[in-house]
Amino acid sequence: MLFSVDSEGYVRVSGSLLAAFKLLLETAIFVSISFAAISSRLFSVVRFESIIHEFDPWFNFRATKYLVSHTFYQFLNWFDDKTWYPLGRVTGGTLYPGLMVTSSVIYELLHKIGLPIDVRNICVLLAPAFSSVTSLATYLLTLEISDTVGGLRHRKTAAFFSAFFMGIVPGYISRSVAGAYDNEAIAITLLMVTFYLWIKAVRHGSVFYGALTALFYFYMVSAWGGYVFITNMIPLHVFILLLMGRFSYKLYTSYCTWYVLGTLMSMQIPFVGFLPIRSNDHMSALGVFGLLQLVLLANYLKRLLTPEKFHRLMIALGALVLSVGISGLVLATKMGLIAPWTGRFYSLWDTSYAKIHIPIIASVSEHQPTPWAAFFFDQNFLIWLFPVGVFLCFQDLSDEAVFIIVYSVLASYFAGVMVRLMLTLSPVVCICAGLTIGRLFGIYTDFRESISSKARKASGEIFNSLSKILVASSLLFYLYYYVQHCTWVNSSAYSSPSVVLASRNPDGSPALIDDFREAYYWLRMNTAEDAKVMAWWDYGYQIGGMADRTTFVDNNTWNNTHIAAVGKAMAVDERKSEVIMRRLGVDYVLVIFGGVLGYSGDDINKFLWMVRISEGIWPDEVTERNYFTQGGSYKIDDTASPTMRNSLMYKMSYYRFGDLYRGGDPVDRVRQQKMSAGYAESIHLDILDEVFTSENWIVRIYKLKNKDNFGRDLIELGEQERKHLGKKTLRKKTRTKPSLDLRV
Amino acid sequence: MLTKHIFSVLSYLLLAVTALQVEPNWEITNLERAIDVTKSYVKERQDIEAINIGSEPLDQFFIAVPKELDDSQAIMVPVLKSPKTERAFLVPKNFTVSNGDENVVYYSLQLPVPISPKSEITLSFSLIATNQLKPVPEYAPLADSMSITLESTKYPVSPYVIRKYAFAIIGAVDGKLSSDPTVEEPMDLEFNSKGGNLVADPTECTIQPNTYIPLEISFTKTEPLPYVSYLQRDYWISHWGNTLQLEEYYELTNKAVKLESGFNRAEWMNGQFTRKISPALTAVQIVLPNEEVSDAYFTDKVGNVSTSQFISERLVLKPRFPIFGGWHYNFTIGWNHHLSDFLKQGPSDEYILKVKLLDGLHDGSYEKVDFSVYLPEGAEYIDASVPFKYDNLSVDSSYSYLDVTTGRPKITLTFSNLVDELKDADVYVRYRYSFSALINKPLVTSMYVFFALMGLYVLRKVNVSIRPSQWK
Repeated sequence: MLFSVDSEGYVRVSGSLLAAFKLLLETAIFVSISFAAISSRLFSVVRFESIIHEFDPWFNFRATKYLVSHTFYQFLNWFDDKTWYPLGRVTGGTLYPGLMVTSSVIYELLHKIGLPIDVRNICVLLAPAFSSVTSLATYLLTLEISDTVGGLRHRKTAAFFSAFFMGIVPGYISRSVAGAYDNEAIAITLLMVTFYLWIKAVRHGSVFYGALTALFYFYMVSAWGGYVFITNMIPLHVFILLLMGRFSYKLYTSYCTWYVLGTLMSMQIPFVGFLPIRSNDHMSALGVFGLLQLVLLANYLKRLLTPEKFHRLMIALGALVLSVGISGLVLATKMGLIAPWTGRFYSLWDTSYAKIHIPIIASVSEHQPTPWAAFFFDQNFLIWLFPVGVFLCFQDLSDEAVFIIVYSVLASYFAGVMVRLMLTLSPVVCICAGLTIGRLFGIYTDFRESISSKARKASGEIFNSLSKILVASSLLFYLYYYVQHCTWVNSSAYSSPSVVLASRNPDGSPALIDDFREAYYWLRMNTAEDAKVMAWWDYGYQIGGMADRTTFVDNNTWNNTHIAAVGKAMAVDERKSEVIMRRLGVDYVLVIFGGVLGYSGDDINKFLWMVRISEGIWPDEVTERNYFTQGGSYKIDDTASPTMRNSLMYKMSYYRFGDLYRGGDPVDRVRQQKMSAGYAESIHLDILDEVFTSENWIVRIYKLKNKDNFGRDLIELGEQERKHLGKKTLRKKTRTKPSLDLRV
Repeated sequence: MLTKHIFSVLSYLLLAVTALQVEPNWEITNLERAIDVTKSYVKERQDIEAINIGSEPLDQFFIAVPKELDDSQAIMVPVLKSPKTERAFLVPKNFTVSNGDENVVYYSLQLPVPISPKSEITLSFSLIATNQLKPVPEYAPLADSMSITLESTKYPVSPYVIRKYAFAIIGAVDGKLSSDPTVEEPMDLEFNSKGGNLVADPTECTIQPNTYIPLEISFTKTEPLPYVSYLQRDYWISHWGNTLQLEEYYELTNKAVKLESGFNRAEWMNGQFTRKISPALTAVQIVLPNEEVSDAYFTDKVGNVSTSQFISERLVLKPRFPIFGGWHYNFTIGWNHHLSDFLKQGPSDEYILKVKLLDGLHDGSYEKVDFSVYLPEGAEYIDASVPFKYDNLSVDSSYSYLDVTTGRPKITLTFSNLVDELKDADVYVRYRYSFSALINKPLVTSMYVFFALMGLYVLRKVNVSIRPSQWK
């Protein structure tokens, strides 16, 4: 019998049925969370199509296709001669292969079991699939924390809440919608799994969990450059525990297992190589590893020596270690054994550093400091539950709670420095909010006392349960509001592939603006297979992925000089530009122009970055000030500065722009500036031929003219032709002048 | 190697043997010739009335085709109209003639019945040739029409004397004819133009055998010249889903006039070229079959093209960009049918699939076509029939969704040089698919799932902990 009715009329249910029911319920909750996590990431697929988004994912996609069609070793040795022309890129050695290997393993596996799914679809849906694993890992991690934090009657409630928050938090979705095939898509999952295993290792002092932590750390290293976050988080956690006087053999075992195995494994990734023992980012882990050994030694000595002797020995040893350590660090840096501090590292500490010194880093929008509103936008009400959760951790300072505190402090700082690091903050926010909500629900949904027959008589009990209902219902409202906010943010802000733009027809029906693919596909179909296309570096990956043509610079910004050379070719006048382009071997030039449609992310708006970056290398030839008018404003109309007017980028953007208006005054819809028709007509190009312009003019492609057969200068030829043409049109104009009759 | 050598020598000998003289024992009493250039390829038709002027009954008739037309011929159909017989369609056989003209290729037609002396026959003979229309000049500025030149002959080449001749060129707007004025002509051919056609009325004449006088026809054309250099057409059969899936991959070009300088979008927009017919290909019309069509899609190598639409039985595809002369555009389209509309069950688990050779363009020629049918896994291919010559037929297997055992049999027919007018030709594929093969797939699939779950269950039972087991 699974249940029975006893003599008092109560239904007694057997324990096994309850356990089965509990399991069923838990599974159902997980399935729902996974479903919510995956389906809220599918807006872009439903609204647009199964397409790779933005810029970097196109490279990852291309690399995955290469891996699928070649062997793993060929992939590691891949020298890509289609990018960074004429230098090429040792792609296999300069990427984090984790993402591509993951999807190719999934691809092979599915093929083995008779499901030959297209690589593109695997890549597009990888991030949503991993997001459901992330919420599972968040659940496990929170469960470990809530085990040690007191005051939680139902410890699983907190864990379930955090998993649910994690599933749909916009801060994470921003990087993991379907089609966002980027390293972060799997990295956050790995981050959570690694942290969970680390907490587990610390709790049990287990070599097994320590080794597992190292394994997932290795996976993380292979997947994302942000692994440095773990490399510093774990030592910091250990260091703080040491400072708190919480040294234990459990801690020693787990840290040493993780550090030794993890470091050795991470060095197997070609791109990482010897960084773990040379780069400053990794020094803290090494330092804490050494410190642990010293603490162990000290612990041993403490047992042997008298307190007085031990005290003196400690001071001497401490001073020695400190001086040797610091001098060793300085010496190694001076000798070049240790990599110098990178610009990205500086910009983590000083937000204005990049703006002054490294324009190429500052020009990326995701490297900008975070505005305040973004926190609410990306976390909704979790952002004010977050401090409460941290407070709860403080109340019961277990080793695991310290980890959460350390994590939240570090992640909050970094999220404030760079917009993109909001991503690493989201998990800890979800965990803390889960703890808070779990605690609050534990208290305010407990109506057992008021239901029981004894309490019913007490008059105060009614007000008590009323206040409980009030709090619980307001919390429920916030939860509802959270779901609504997340859905709205996902659908409106994070689900645009940015390759295809959504718009509306005049009658209000939805329409797609597909200019990018139109132009890229034109390049792919109608240019020579080895044609070299020059474009600003933002479009490098897309040209490589969609047009399958050789590019000069792309989103992997390792060579600042080469990027500056392209920027200079765009920024200087035609004569100088021709020299640069001939030297580089350019066949086609591609520009993005939004003036017709009002697309603000175009090249004229990015132009100042090109100028700044090339000014950094050639300060004598390019000066930012010259691109502004006398009054200091950025103009593109008749009053544009002469340098601006003569620059190749300006000419390519506005060439034949006036023709579109048939004699009327053309208006640039992005910058809201009006040119006069005569001026617009005078914009000419001598070294380039327009070969393609997309439907809404967003992409314009020019071909570098061949050298003149008789060795004449292309620009002089153009001028002669214009002079000749000028006379002819003048004649034509006078001839076709309409007779003016007087209207009386 | 040696056998190959011997073979080539033998074939030479054979050729030498067949290189015969054509006896002038027929006289063509009336020949009406029409060249149709309204489409993107050339259709030529000759209606011949001939009389046996010899003394013996004859069962062979020779026709001649100019060489460049013969090289690119898509199809040649000679039909015997009278006397009426059961086998009206004649089979042309290539024939090397020793007393013929070197610019032409001769074919012999075997008549089904011998024709007695002084008797008449009526033949018609049509030929479709691709790649004949050449835009002249090759490069021109953006315009809504282009001029096209076609190389042809002024008189039909025949090994027999022609007594009466009429000639019409259909679809040649603003047509102009030019031929070498120094050559002496057998007759005075007078053309008058009638609404885009050039017509020379029947005239009595004497055209000597093998008269070869080149003629250049130039005219204006507004339509593009679509040309598919490769078409891969795949039919997928699913008995469980009762669906017949079609997927076609096109490599499309336009053979029309090329742009003199680059593409000027402003000029294109100002001229409103998207709204009118011009040599640039702005839309591809796919004529849909009469059977029900569902889930149609249009993609290319960078994803979905959102601009396709159904307009009354036609799928109108708008490529990402207008395809000017010399430009290329590769794309994939596909849709689903109900399998029962195309499948007939024969005796003993036999099925006969009847599908069309082409659906495709409503005007265009195809250089190479790979036509494949994917049978369900476990099916057994018996044979296929096509009312048309094909280059190659191959049968192999391919693996797709849930194929874990033998893979699907895949039948591939390779064709070259087709035109859209052949799309009504039917392809028949016969195969055997037993009930046990039908039921096999779900059984195998569920077995794998069962094994996977069992494996999981067994794994859960294994204790991998290194802790000593608890005392009992």
